[in-house]
Amino acid sequence: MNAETSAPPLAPPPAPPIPAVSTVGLTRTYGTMTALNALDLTVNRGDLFGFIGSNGAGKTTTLRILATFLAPSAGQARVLGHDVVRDADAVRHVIGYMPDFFGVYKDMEVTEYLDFFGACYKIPTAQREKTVNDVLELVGLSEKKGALIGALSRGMQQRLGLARVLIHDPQLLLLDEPASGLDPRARIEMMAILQELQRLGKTIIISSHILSELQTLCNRVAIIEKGKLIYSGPVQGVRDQMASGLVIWVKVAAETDRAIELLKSRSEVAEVAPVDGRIKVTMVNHDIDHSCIADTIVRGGLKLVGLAEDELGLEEVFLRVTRGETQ
Amino acid sequence: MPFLPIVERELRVGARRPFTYWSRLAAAAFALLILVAMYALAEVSKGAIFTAGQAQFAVLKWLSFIFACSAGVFLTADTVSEEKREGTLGLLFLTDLRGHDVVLGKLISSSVTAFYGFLAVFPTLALTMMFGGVTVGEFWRMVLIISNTLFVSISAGLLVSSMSRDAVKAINGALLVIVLLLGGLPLADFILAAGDIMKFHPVLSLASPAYLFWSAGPLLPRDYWLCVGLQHALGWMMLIFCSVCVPRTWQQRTSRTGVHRWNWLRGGSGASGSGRRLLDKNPVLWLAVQDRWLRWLVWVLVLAAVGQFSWAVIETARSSQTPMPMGPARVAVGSPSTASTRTVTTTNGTTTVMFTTSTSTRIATSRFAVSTISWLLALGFKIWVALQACRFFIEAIRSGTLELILVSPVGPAEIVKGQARALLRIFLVPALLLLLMQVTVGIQGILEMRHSLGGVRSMPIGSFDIVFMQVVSLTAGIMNSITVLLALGWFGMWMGVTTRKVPVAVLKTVGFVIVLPVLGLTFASGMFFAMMMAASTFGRFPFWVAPLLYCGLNSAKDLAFIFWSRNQLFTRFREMAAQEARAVTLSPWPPVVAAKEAAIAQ
Repeated sequence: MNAETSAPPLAPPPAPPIPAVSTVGLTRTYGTMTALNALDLTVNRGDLFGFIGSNGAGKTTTLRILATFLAPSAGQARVLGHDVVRDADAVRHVIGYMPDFFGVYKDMEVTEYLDFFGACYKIPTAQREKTVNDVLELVGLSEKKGALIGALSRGMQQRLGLARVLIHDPQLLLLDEPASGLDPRARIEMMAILQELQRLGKTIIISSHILSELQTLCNRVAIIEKGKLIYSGPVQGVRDQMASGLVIWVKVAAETDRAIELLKSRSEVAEVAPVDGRIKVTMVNHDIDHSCIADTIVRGGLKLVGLAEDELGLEEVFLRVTRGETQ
Repeated sequence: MPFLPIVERELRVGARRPFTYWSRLAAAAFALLILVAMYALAEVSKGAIFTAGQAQFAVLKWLSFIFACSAGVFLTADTVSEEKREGTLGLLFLTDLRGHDVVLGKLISSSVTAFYGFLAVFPTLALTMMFGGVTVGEFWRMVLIISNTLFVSISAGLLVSSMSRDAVKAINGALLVIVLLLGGLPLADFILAAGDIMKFHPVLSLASPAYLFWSAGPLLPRDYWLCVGLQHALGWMMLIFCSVCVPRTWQQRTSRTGVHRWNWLRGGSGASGSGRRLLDKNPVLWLAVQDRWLRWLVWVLVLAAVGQFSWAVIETARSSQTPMPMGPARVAVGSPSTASTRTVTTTNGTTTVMFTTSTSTRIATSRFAVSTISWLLALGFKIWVALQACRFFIEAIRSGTLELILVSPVGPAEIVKGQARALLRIFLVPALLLLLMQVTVGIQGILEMRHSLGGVRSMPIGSFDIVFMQVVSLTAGIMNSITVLLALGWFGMWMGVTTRKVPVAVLKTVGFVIVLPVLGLTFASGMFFAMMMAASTFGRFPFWVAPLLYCGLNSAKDLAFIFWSRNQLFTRFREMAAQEARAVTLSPWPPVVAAKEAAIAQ
């Protein structure tokens, strides 16, 4: 036995974790219209993933394919390692899909509704009652157990929809516009529930038009237009990509013109312009240290009243990335 | 504001709908087909069965009348109620619009298709005058009757629609009102005459389109115009009532107390023991049997059938105990149970057999009334089977429930089986009861016939064995009844998946499974007889061959529907349910309209 054979075998390199969702060349056509055009998308486990796009961009189609409701025309989609076409039954057990409509007979009671879907997911009778109570507790609807669904407010109906999605404890949640039509309080409550679910280890894909909420909620986003993926990655990444130069807003107590002259003399500054009594300073690039602005004003003997970095919002990023074209 | 803005809107919508153009094209083609078929029949039989003009006119007027009567059920019953469900009716009443604006708009939009359909048949109906046997007066009287019936039927449908929200309830309600108008009013007069046709005096019947249609020929001009005027006034009264109702019934009344007001009318709760058992067996089955009121309604229908059957039995027994005047009668093939034969005589070996009958006019009339009611109840039962088969999937798709179920582990096969079992649960026992009645009536007819033949075991005239023909007819009829119900159920389910509106789905189901095949088979059997007569082979074939062939072909058609629909449901269910825009299989516009559209586009 030589040294080579007697040495302990090398540990195999750890297998890369299976992503929650991966699509390759995913395409869906309706007659002559292409709703999804070769979409390549990856969502990691544990992500709270925002899916952004104009109306008719292909968000709902993507979610419906991932939920196994629609079959793709071409390409492949895998959910937690399972193919959505060949292994659809396995996919259905690990996902919870909430469409952008409520989808139920309004003269059902809350518990009947959840009991029904519990039965659809083959949850044993003995376990179903406890599960129903647990999910109602989680979404804060325990007091509405016997109420008719038609008598619930929109916000409560959305929460009930979320309870339905959670009834079989799925690993991946596909939520299509879950906060649409909700009042601010209901929206905040919904977002809090989603954050709690992420903390519990769920992967969540959420499509929404309320981009300001997605930017605080999601760690990653994808932007889609006319069925094509335009961006996928961290929220900050898309901001950085889109921002041509850092913008600083400066306010001085007096002598605004002199301040403009001083700032224009700096090599780090690309552009200076007065706007409504303030000075808009655009730096030559995004990564530059902007402390030089304050330094220049103070050294020039002027009184600095305010200085703020202009953060590029997701809505502005979205507008810059897309041209708002719908199909 | 323009005059009657809803009418304008509805006409614009109607003008953009390809169905408006296709339906009139189809109606005209269908009428022409009937005309040609009847002409062919008359030609082949060399006038032995009927003369072309009269028969064509009779068939076309009957079909037009049935079409006019059913327009209220299938075209208007779910118009206002649909707007209520969609929430669009409320938006209209937030403006300055009044009830009559909406009602007239709906009247115009729904009657345009029907009226165009009738207008397309109109020239074909007029052609029958050229074949002979139909007078100009007869033709115009019938045109007015059918137009008036269409108006009354549509008004009745709108009235029921204005008081309903649910499509199924609206359709059932419209069906009930129209059946009452057609049959209920003459029946009431008949009851007032103590069931004696000789004492029958039309009072309520004057408002019944069926009475006017039936007795248009013998009626005096004064009575004819009285009937037409009365029915027209009735139609307007229904519209006025509808205009008053609509602004008061559009708001949804949902209990906000958290307790269901009509819980006892619904199925077992999911939380209850029986509900749990159903849920565990098949969740879709539990969902599909939620509305218990439909089962109750079916039972009401069946009990009505049992009631009238019992009355008929008692009446027959009572009448047969009293001495009856004797008289000769010719037995109609296919309905021998309506006569009671005492003696059999053969005249010079001809195939015409004369019977003496003990059936009084009274029994004959009451039997006619009973058989008409039975026929109507059986038709109602079949429509309900089609309705329930279609509506579950249509509502599930519309509400989005089906999408939610399809992304769960419940697959299409389980969904279809759940709905099929729900249909069985609702209709099996009532259907068995109706079949039992059919068997009883059939056996009674056979026994009566055997008794009337006075022990004659084999008929001397070749193969003209009426008893055997009755046995064959009964067996085949029962088999037909079973297969047609199954076909309605399975094809109705498929129509539910592929059609958006409940009335249209029901119309397609009943039309494809019952109406068109019956017309086709009747024509085929007519041709068969005509050809036999023409070839002088009439007496050579056993008479039971005809009903056996007819029922056999009918059952074969039903089996084809069952297997085709099952196959479609099990293989294409998900694809069809997922298809958001369900395109009409016809190309969007007829060629002429398409050319106009293209010209406008240029």
